[in-house]
Amino acid sequence: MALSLSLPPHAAIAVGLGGLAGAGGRWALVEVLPASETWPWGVLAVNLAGCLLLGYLAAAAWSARAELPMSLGLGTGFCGSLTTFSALTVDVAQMARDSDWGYAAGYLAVSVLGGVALAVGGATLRKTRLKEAQ
Amino acid sequence: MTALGFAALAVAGTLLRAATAQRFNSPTWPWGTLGANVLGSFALGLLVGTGNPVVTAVGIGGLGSLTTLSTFAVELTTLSRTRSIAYATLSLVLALTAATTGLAISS
Repeated sequence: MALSLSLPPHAAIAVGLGGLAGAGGRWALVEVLPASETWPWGVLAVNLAGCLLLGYLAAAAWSARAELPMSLGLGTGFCGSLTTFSALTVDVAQMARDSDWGYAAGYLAVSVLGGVALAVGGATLRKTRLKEAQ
Repeated sequence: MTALGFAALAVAGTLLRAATAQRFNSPTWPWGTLGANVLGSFALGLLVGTGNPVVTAVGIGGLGSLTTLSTFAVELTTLSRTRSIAYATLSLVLALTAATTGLAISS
């Protein structure tokens, strides 16, 4: 995998471990909250939780620390792999194929709009906490 | 074996996404995230379309980790208003088309 060589080794280890933990967490939550016939609860839960967490992490003074192994491991690794875009799009595509248009539109809207709202909420929470700490 | 395959591909998918993002994302347009999300959606569509539960589980490990909603959502909050609308629309249209095409090819 030539592309991954562009990451320094310590960053690659942090991202890989974070990704393993994030994907493991996603697997566990999908086991605990299985999809109902119409609604993939587990995937929705990890996606929304990951958006909140990454919004929080990436909110303040992120660019200065974005390349640190801890930031890469938690942000790119853990949050990136806890959440998934492909499971969302494939589920929506299957709902649309089965003509469940209401579920397809609803699931897509809740995931994307909810994810963005929670990312903004996480960032607000972080900035409020930083202000209080000053 | 399924758990091992899931774990190995999850690490590989995460690293591939990180490297793609580092190489292709710019502050004004996240080409790397867009590419990972669209290609991952196509590939997962292909795997899920086979109807094989092991292939699907392992695919969700690797391709679930290659693609990401959290980075996508945070990127939308950092891009300008016009760009964020264009990025969201392009990502969703391309990825849903890719997933539909992948499913149709293999099922």
